[in-house]
Amino acid sequence: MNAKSISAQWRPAAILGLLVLLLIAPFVLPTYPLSVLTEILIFTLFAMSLNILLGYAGLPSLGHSAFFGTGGYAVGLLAKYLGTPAPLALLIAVVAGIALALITGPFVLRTHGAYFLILTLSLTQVLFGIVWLWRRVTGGDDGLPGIPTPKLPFLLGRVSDTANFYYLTLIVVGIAIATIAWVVRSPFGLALVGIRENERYLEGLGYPTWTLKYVAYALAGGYGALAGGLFAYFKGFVGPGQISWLLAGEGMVMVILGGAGTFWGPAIGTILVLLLRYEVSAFTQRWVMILGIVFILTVLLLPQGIVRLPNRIREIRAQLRREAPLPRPTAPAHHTPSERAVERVIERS
Amino acid sequence: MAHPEPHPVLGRRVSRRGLLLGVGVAALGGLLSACAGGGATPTPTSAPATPTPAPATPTPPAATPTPAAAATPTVVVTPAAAAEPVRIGLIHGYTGVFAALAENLTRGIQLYFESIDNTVAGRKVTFIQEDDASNPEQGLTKTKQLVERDKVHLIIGYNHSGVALAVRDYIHQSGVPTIVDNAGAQALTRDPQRRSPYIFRVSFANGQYEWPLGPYAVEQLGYKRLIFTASDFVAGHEKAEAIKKAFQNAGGEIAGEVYPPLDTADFAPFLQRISQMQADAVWAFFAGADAVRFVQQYADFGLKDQFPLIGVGDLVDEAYLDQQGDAALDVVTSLHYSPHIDSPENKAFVDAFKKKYGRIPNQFAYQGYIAGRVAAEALSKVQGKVEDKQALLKAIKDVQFVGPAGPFRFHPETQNVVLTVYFRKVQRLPDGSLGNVVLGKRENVDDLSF
Repeated sequence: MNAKSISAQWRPAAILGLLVLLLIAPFVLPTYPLSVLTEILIFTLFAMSLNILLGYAGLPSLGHSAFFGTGGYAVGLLAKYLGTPAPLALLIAVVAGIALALITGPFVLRTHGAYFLILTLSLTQVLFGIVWLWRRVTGGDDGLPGIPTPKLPFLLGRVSDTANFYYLTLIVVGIAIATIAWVVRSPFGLALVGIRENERYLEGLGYPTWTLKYVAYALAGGYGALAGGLFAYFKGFVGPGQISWLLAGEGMVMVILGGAGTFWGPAIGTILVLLLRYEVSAFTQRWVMILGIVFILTVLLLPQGIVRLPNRIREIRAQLRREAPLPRPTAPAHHTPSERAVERVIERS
Repeated sequence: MAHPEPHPVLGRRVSRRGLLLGVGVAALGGLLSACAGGGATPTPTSAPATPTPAPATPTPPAATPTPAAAATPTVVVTPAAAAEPVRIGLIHGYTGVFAALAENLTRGIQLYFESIDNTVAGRKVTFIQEDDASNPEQGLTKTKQLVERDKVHLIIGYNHSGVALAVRDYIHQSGVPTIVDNAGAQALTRDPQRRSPYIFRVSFANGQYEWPLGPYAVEQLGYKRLIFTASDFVAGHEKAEAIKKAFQNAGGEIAGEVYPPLDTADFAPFLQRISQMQADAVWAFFAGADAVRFVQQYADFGLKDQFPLIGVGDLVDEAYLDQQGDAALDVVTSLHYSPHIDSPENKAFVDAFKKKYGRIPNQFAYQGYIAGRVAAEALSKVQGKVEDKQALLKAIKDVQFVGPAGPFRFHPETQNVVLTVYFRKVQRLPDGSLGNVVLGKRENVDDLSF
């Protein structure tokens, strides 16, 4: 594949360029776009962690916000009641996310497909209920406000607070994304794709598929909780909205829109969803409708996600070129090309 | 609707490409207009579309409006600093469950500013409206946008307590004078740790207009034992706690408590429990669709004959009275407003609102109107010089006037409104419609009184 090798050639340069852009962003962007960019980074990590389940292992989880919220509440409670420093609190958040996955994994991983979706959804709802009703500890629907935003000590005073936290997020998310890249390219990651494609076949080959899924679930939980912890610090606030299944659904939209099972797809989906939410909503309150239309168009025209757009365009161009010299039939003009093709097949048979 | 003539040549292939192009252009436009996110695209994008009319020429962030602001018709910015209009950020949950409430708040604000021609001390006032979807995270981002990008001088808004609490720290740090026009979270003004010199509240703290009904029920209505029922969320509990305490202090006795979840479709199991209790009356707090359903089902269940229904004004808000119909008759509630308050100020407000929007204002329209008036009076006191923040804060704090519901002033310590609580009863008006007729009132109720 000629096209593929070219894009592979350019990939390191593209990633490097992207990294440079992200590093200099605080110097060119005002604080508001910078905070939107910070949010994009955090949700990219969230979407990528969901992608491990949804995209690579083929487990449609509608409960990923459980981990996001667990991380957020871990950070919020630690900051509020114990004053734990940020690095430790984030670490505990990750551990809490992994622990939640390890505890719930044996229950939800007994199922596949729609049943997995429902079980993960109910897991989120249970946690949501606890958070909502345990008012004394979690603050109920008012959440826990006033979480102090951590700052990188070596940047103190040199850049604005917004930029400081942006760099902190960039470092944490950068490391996390690099490790996700390593995981999905490892034999473990490839085995997950195998499970997605044909679990029984892999089982027949002797892979411990259940254990692999369990580990993937725990990993996704850990990354999800890390994103949630960062988000709680970023907003200085954690509330039940961060554990609600609506967020899990939004994560799913980000992943599927960008391209499930591709590495950068979730990032693109995240950018699109958040820009629609924060930029388009300034023009119109119907941004959700626009998101819906974009989603439908994507699913219809780019079933593998927006990340495939360049390939798809290339394909269509090639197709057009091939089809162009064909003589066009004049009489039944309302027939679509595919109908004609069907007719041809019928005539021949 | 339909195309006048289905063009036969437009085959499936072509329209598909058109759609693809459309998606591409939309995506690119979104990326460009953000002028930020563009740098974050991790793909080597082969530009899907030929030169789009660039939607966002990179704007200097200073005083010029961003393309987003330019799209709203109200914003016009002239370069001269002196003639530059005062920018007020309006932020409410315009989408989601509280959309109707947010709209009424905004109508109230706009009604007041239109009455003064959107001009204060010769300076034009413009509004930048943002939607927080009653979601704390989005509210925080939108507040940052208003402060950092749109550089507003003043914020009016926050209908949702969760949003208000979440943005409190940011507002306190960035120091933008903010007038809260609905969110009732008590901590925002009552808690000495959480109140802020930049935050004023013109509406109420949860419990502030609820508690006076406790003593009133004992002394005027003769109810010694009450059942309390409210939606199971923070505001519901805060309101119930406030009146329970006042009711007990007045010598009343709590007969039972029932807390159905928010957005309950069928109240039957809860009404069943209430019907088995022994009491003189039921006190209730429900809002929105919950209120409509509760009042109707309460009457259908036959409980109205067993226990008279009293409660919070939201229960029989003017917006739902028609839907509730006779089920709402005789319900006694307490609130800081009623459109049937008999005063020249209120008559002027109700008439102006009716003339513009064709309906009777409810408490939220009133709160918006008051928020608009407070902002306008403070702005004119400082001669439109919003840049002097300390003077503006002091001017807001000192605002005093007689509004539709009586005298208005802030509590000097909490910066929360000191209001008059009205006891109202749903009755048939001479014109056949239902209305909250005022039975009595209690003046000078502040948010530290309970």
